[in-house]
Amino acid sequence: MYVAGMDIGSIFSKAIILKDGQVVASLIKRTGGEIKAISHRLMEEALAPQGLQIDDLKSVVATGYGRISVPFADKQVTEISCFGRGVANSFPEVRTVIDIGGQDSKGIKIDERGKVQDFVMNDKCAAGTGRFLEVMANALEVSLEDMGPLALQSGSPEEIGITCTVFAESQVISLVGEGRRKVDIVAGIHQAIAERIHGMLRMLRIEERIAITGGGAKNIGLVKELEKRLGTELIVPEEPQLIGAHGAALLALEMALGRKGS
Amino acid sequence: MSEPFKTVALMKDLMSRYYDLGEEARRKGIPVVWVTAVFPVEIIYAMDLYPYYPENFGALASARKVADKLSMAAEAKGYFNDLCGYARCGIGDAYASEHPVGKILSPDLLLCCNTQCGSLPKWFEAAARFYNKPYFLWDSPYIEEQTSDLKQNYLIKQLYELINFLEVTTKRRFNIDKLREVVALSREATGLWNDCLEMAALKPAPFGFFDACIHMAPIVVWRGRREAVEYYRELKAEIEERLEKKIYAIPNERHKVYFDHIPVWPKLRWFADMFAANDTLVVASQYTQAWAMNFDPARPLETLAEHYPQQFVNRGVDYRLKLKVDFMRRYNCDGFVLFSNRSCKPNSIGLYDKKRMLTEMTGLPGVIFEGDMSDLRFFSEGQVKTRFETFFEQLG
Repeated sequence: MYVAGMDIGSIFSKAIILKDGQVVASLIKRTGGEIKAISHRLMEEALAPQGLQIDDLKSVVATGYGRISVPFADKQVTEISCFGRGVANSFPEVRTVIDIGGQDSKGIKIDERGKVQDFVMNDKCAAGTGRFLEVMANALEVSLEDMGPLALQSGSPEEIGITCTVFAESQVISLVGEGRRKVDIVAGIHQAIAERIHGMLRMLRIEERIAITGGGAKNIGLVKELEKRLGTELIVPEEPQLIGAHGAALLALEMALGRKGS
Repeated sequence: MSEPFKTVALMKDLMSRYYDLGEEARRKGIPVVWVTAVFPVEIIYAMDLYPYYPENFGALASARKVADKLSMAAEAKGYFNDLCGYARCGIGDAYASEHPVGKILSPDLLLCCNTQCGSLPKWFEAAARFYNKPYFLWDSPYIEEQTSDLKQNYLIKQLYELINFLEVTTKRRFNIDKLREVVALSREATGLWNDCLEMAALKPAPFGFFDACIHMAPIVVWRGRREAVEYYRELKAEIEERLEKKIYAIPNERHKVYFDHIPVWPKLRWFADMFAANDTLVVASQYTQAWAMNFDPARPLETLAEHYPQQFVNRGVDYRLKLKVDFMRRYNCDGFVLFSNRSCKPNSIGLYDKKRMLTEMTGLPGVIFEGDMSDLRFFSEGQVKTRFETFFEQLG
């Protein structure tokens, strides 16, 4: 029996196919353009190597900000619940999930089954999100993937204020103009973003262990800065961006088996 | 929101009559007195003056989705967009060349009480300078838990000063017996209003918070007049009638939740529909309950001095938490909503701690959302929706 989870994020869209509960295919693509068309294309592409079509899926759960625009989904579930479920499946010891997505960063407290106990999200502001890192990478003409490793090379990070992405960007441009070292600016950016996320997390009563998910988890500089502030090692899943889609797929499986969904 | 009540037509008449009376007062030379929403308006009515509620103007502009336009007129004069949305509407309209909800009625006198917040006195002070009219502040000390004789005497003494101020500025006589009559009418209307609100505790309920938001205008502006008593008598009868006919506030009530604060006026329908689609009825709010007062007409000044300054915003954290918990218990709530309102700092401070404490006290899940009661520039639909959908998933 095949089921699928689909996570349409603001920057990336993700799909996971489960066969009898095991992951048999996954795919990550940039979101962009019309979500209905993208979700179709992405799902078809993920299914093709299995020789399957969308109709062969017993159940599909969609999540992420574009969840309501996935035409073939049987159910929409918020990414907060899906990330909780996805993390608990691989790491039942996790009680707090930090999810750094494109337009949101979130702190999610879960029980051992991944059920959401409490959560916090950023306000409608991009500071502290994946989009912030992307804007800074562009301003510095550094690829997004290189940002994290570069941050680790600095011995004296620049001070960067981060109440606002737009202000921080102009600050970064000024620092570049003054001839400051790129690695120090990048390190400063990571400190600032970690500070912002940590501030938000303090609104929750953080319990260990803590996992980090979403595109931001692939940034080693950010992970290290958060670990410093939290005073503990973070669990980074192998494919942190796929956790939401995986959680959605697990909920789809529960639906298909007739168990109560989240 | 329920299917429309018949009394809505009556309310529309009543509200247009209220605004007409303002124009008439201006023509006849009856002083137009600006008052804050939680102010002993009974004294104004007892002196046959016309009370005008600038906050009501703000709510109207907000509900009609023009708060941003009016606010920008205030911002152009240097008023920051972080200020209270109602104040931005009122100040903006005073400066604006276009008046999308009609022109705010200019005051002959301004009376303000600081029990609601610190922004209202600042707004009224600015307006008093702008219109160049006399201003009176009924200063309420902070009442953490219990009030004291000292505080009570201070408040009553100021009411005497207020009466003196009104007699001198309007050249009209104050009559305590007239005040007793007005307070009795006020008490009757607030009692009926409370009866209507209490019906949200039934399961399924015929009336909920969003209905209360639609029907609250008369308790704010007509309180102290027979019109308010008649209106809420009609409304109560209609709710009872709907209950008999099994017409409920939402089609399939599964959960009840407490909403801590004022609604997002320009999104009232959107919120009501979202809750209804999730089989959840918002049953109570300290906001709509603020006018469910229980005056004692035999001691008119004392009773006014007791009730108005003891409003929730003017109370300590412990008291406010207890009040919320009490509502959640009385209305059998399954969860609660806290609104981080950019326009209203006194209500938005400490929400994350409050949420944690409320969950500890009640065991119920809660959600905090960010937005603004007036101005859609500070509202992000997608993000608010995600928070609420997670909350509904928690409710099950």
